[in-house]
Amino acid sequence: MKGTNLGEFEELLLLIVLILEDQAYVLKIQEEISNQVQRDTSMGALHASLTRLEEKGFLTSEMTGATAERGGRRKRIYQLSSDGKIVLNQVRTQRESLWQQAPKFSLDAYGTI
Amino acid sequence: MPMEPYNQNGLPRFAELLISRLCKAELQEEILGNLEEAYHAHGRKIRLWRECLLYLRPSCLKSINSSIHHPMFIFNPLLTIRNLRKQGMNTIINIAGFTIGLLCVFFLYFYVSSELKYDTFHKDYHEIYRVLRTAEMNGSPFKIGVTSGPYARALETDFEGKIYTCRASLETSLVKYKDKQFFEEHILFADPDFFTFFSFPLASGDPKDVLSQANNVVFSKALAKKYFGDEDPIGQIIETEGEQFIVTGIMDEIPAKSHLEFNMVLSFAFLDKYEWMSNWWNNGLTTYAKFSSPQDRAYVESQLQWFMEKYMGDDFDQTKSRMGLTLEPLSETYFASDVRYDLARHGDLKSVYILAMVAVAILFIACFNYVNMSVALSFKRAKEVGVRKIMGGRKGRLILQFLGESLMVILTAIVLAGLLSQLFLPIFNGLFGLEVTYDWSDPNILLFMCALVGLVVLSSGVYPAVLLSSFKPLRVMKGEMVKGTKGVLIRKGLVVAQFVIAIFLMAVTFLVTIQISYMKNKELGFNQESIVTIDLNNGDIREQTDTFKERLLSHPAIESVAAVSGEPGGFHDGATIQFKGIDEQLKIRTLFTDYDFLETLNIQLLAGRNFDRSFGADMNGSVLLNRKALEELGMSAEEALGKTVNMPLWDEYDRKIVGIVEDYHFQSLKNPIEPLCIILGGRARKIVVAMQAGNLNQGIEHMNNTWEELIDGFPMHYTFLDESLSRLYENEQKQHRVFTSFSIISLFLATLGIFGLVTYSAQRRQKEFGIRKVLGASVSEILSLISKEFTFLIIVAFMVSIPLAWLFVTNWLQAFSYRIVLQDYWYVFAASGIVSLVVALLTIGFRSLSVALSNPSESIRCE
Repeated sequence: MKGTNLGEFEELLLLIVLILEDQAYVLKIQEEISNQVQRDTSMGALHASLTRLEEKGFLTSEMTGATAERGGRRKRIYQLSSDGKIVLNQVRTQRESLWQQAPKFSLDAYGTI
Repeated sequence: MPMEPYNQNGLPRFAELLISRLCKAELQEEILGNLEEAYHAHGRKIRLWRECLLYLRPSCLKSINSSIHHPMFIFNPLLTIRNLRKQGMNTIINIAGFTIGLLCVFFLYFYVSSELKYDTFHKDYHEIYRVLRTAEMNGSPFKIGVTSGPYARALETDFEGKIYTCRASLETSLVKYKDKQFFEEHILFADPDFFTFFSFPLASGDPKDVLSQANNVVFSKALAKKYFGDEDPIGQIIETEGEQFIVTGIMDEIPAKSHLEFNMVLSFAFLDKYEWMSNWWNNGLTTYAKFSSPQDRAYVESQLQWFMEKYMGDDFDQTKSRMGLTLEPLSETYFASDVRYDLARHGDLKSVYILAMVAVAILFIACFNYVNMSVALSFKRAKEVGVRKIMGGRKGRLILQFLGESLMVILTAIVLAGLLSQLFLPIFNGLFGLEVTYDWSDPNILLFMCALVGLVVLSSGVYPAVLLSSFKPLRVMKGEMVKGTKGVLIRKGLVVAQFVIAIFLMAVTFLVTIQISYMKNKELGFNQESIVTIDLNNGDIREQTDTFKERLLSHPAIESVAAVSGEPGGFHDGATIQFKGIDEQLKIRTLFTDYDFLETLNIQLLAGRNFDRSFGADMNGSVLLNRKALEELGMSAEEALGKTVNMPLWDEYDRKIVGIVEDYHFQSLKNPIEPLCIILGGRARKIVVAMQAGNLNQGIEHMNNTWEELIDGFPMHYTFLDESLSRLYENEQKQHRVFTSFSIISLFLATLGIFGLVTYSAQRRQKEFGIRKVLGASVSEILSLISKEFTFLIIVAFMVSIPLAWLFVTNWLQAFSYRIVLQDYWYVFAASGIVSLVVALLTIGFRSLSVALSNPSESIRCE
């Protein structure tokens, strides 16, 4: 089923990578997730998901930017591929269309939180 | 430790190692970098390790198949199986050998662990002791298992607060419940605190007061079922010894075994009312003691001699011999087989050790087979090793691969042995006369198996693995050192070791057989054929002993009847006799009997006369002595006859020596003949009946009928004398069976090893034999060529094992006062060597004949 549907966590990852631009490597992604949505993840788990997204063709990666803190090692910077952008857009359109069809009172009744 | 330049702020070394060893090469830089940067930022070790370990997931790990160098070099189960399969026959021999060895070891493990667990289920078993008396008989000290009633109370009063006691006495009796009645052989009389003193579990009833009343009784579950069926046993009333008892408790299954064997407990209060219970010399029960601290125990132990003097000092002065008191830990009770007059069930520690040693020896033979075979085959694999090394296989990897093969073999064998052991359990139990059960839920067995696997893999896998992996690839590829000459000495040593064990066991088996048949056939000095002993186990029959005798004699099949206090091989109490006119006293065994004893057992009279009814005075006190008693006193028969003796402790009767009998073995052949005094009268415990050899069935039928006429509803219990005599050597017969079966197994395994080696040797030298045949060698010459080297090895093994077997058997024979003279049986040693040699040669011949017969053109042709 590769390349078709986007999981919830995958969607989140793509968005974070988009936000982080050229700083999108595992450590920063982990930090961002923790700050933005208060989720605790491990680098290992992130690595697995990121690799899967790469295999699906939504991400590309590149080894660059060695720093002293890393002991002179390079980091893997992720970027959204065009497929990734397309799929993210698709998800967004779908969601928005769904939101518009939802009756207003349901939100009033249960609140947004 | 030199630091890598980029490692200054330090990822821990091990974390780095973990990642770099286990994770994919292309990911390592990134992972390490991330870890280090994160660590740099937060600086928390725990978090670092968590992250590090969470990186070890399938997406990051190296795949097993694409390891460092090449698939060939990591431990690879598939490869192992392939290799094992290629060696076909040898693998089967190896696995079979291990399986047989393990079967023996499993059986042994459960046997030994159940033996060693005896009595350990009691809560404070290391604080419980058995009170034994010590005495001396004509120079040799010994312990006595039974004590009398007053000891317990006296110990508790004299050492108040330091010692707690409990008395127990085993009896047999007839038990009635409504219309059911059975003869019970394991009835225990015990003090009220029995169930709190020991930890025998109760299924119902309060341990504190189940025995508080004199008429209380506790049943075992099985016994309750037998009497009451499905009824509630509590509150039922049973009758025994002419009194009524009420069931107040039911025992649960005992978690391990106990030296006390009983299925019914009555309150000691029942016995306490008898006057003889307060007599210090009426020994028949066991006293147990419990101490609150080791200091108390040490104190009491130091006062025991004083204690004995206090209560029995006068008696000791009278008999001029003293007794001591000693404490035996409960944990040693089961194996304390040197205690005389003991009611406890005993095991033989020596047998346990022998069994353990033999099984370990078997396992060794199996291990040696494996080592031998792997080393012998190593030349075949030399090229394989060479290729692997050239392709980059490191030595460590190769060792791992070879150890993996050993592991595979031993694991297969363990699984097979585990499956087969259940099948073989009844066979082993029957063979050795044991009642071993397998309890696989025992957590120790798992530990034991792991230890076993580790031991076997290490002992039999390491040498071949190291040897194989040490081949120099270049030389191997050039075809040098493929001769398989490496480790020849070790290989030969192992074959020798195997045959040392096999020949040793065989020689021992033969000699044990000879000793046992010697004991069975030894002239005992009395007639043991067609003799039946009947227990006088009931008050009614004891009162009617004379009537019983008369009625028995009325039948033609019954030749003679005598009442005795103990049959040959049975109980002969010790006493001291004092000769009138001589100051000397003699410790002597006693037998109370009647006029017909000598005739019934056909014991020879040396001098004087037998007891005679026509001498009215005989009834008032006449005795016969055996020859040994005279020898001890240094008297001739003439001097002794007519002298009077008395037994200072028992009575002041003067008894006249009227005759001297030839020594006969009234005890087991393990003991030397002791002085014996045969006394007319006394309390009879058994009746000895001599019957016509051809009319045994009629005789026994008549006995049964007569018994029933006299006693209503009490079953008669009889044994044949020759059977009860051979039961004296039960332990030896068990050992005999152990040796027989294990010597066969070990010879078989050793032969299996030779079989494998010959196969290899014949194949390797096929071309050589071909050329020899072409040059004119005959088939038999070639056969002798192959067998020569093995013959030599077996001769060496023979030389080593004979002294060992000699030592062992000499030691084993020490236990018997009457034993075979080893020198007379030198040929037995020779025979066991020859048997092994013949078996080995047959195997060799069978295996190499085809090679010797084959057409030389076939073996030389191919290059």
